[in-house]
Amino acid sequence: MPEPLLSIEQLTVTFRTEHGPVQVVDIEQLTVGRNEVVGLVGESGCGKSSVALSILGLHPAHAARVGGRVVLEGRNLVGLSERELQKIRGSKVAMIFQDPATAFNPVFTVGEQLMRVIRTHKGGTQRQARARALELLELVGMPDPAGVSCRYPHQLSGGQRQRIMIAVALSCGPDLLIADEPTTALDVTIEAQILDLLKQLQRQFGMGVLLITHDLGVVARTCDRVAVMYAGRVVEEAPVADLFRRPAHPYSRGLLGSLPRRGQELRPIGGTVPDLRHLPPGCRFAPRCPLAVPTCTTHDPKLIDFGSGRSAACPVVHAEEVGVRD
Amino acid sequence: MRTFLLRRLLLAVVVLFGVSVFTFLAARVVPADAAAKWVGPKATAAQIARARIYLGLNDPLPVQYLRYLSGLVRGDWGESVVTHQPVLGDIKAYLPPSLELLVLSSLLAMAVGIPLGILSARYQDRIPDQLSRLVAITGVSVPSFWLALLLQLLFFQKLKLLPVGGRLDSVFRLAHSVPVMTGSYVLDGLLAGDWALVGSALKHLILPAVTLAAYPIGLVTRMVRSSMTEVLGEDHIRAARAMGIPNRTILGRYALKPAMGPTATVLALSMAYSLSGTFLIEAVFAWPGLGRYAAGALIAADYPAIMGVTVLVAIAYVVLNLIVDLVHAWLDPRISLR
Repeated sequence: MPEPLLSIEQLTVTFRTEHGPVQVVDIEQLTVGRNEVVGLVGESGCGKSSVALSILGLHPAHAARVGGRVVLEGRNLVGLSERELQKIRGSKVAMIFQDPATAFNPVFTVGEQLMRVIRTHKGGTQRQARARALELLELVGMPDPAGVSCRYPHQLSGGQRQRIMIAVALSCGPDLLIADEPTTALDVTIEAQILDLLKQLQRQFGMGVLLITHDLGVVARTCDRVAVMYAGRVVEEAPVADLFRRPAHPYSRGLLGSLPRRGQELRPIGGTVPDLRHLPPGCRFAPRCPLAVPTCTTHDPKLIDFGSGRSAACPVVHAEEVGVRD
Repeated sequence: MRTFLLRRLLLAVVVLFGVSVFTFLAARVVPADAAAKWVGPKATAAQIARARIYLGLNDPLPVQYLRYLSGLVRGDWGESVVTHQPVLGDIKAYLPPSLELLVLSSLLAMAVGIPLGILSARYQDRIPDQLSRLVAITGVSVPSFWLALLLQLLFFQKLKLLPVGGRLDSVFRLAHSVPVMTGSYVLDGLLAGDWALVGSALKHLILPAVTLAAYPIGLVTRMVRSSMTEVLGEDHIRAARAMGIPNRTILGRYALKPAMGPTATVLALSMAYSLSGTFLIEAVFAWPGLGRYAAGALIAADYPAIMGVTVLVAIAYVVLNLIVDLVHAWLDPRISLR
């Protein structure tokens, strides 16, 4: 197996709170290959965005402690100095955010902000940066790039802003793009356009993409592989088609069961997400799990590799059930 | 933009009209007899009565007010009842030194307060922040006359670096012909290319300007800190960091620009206040400014002079507020001037 572009190993993120430390992320293993789109799905508050922020070291140092390894092309990013991280952010790893309305600085034109990123990483003259900025705006499908570049964020629509955000992210040709709920704040019709644009540019540039979302529809449309997160942990990893056909982990099954489908009743998952401050012993999903057995509440399940790129952190599920034959 | 300026100009007229009504009424309500002041302490009753007629004090109030108002508009702000000099002429003489002091101290306040505020926001709750808080709180809470005396002791008495007061060295003034144009010696010196004059005037300005700047330095520091702290918590700052924008650019541009609006507001208010509220500083430094003029007028119950200063300060507030609004619109494109 070729070395992945990004490899997350034993990653933990612990927030300091008034009630003492709270661990919000505890991931054994997650990889993103070159030219691969990996979806990270889960409910709000399961730690998805925290994973994204910890890859780039964006958690404020006084509020969170990050442990484990985030290896990008053989180099561990955890514990790098702010200076070294600055060189990686925006150039090797870029990120787009959920709400393009708040992700741009309101008092500078989008052109200025785009050019500043270009000049930060690539140097060059104002003129060169401007030419590159116009190119990028054209690339993400903005009509009248010169006109758009002189606009302030509030003078653009949500879809336009997200396109420009993508242009900013791609400006320095990153190897890895982290997209944190890139379409959640957008209309459904715009969502489809933005996802198609992302997919098209991903192929064109051969980037690895980590797409963070709570929306399984987005995953189905865009991703090659998917990791399902629950209460700070990855509970299942699978190629997208396999996950939708035969989900392994009971939580994944619950998620898919709660999707609306024609002719089928919605089956919500009973119970609520556990409080991260008071996690249940053993499997974190056990209290809500229809398949739970007594050992589930005493033993912490590890990810079990079923082969064919499938794995799940559930001792109750067997390889045959998910249709993997060795 | 044009409609905005027109609207604001109209509004300014309304505000100044209101101010004129209030100052006029206040002057009539105070128990000092203007006619008695006018003729002096040894005047006879007949002389006072004649002065009443001369000053029009026997006319009905509305008539008196209209006379006052038309005088204001025409540039006749009345005569001082004490010195019998035209008030506007006095103000013209006292205003330039005040403005000189005000502008320099405001520049100082920005030059010191903004970097201190940035430092504070950058190192929140750490040692640089604590130190800058100490400077800021000292600045706003130290009595200005005491700070003035302290500075005189240090820089004049001990170090012999700076003059103790006045606007120019008396020897220099005798030996040197001072060109009179704007009334600000620094500006006049610059215009005439007279560097000796500029140098002497600046030397005399330093201590009073520093004293006057102490309060706005504290104000600006705290305001920059709090606005920047707020901006630094916004999503776009995290996004900028995620793009690899260096910290100094984030602090000095991305967070500073949105934070400057509130800072401009407090600075302008403090400037307008300082225009006439600097009596103590002017007294300690023998500075012939508007504060001393106003204080002298108050003590002598010289009501035309008091009214003149009040109207002037009102104009200053109106003008500075207009400038602040323009600065806001310039800083933040989301604010539209309508």
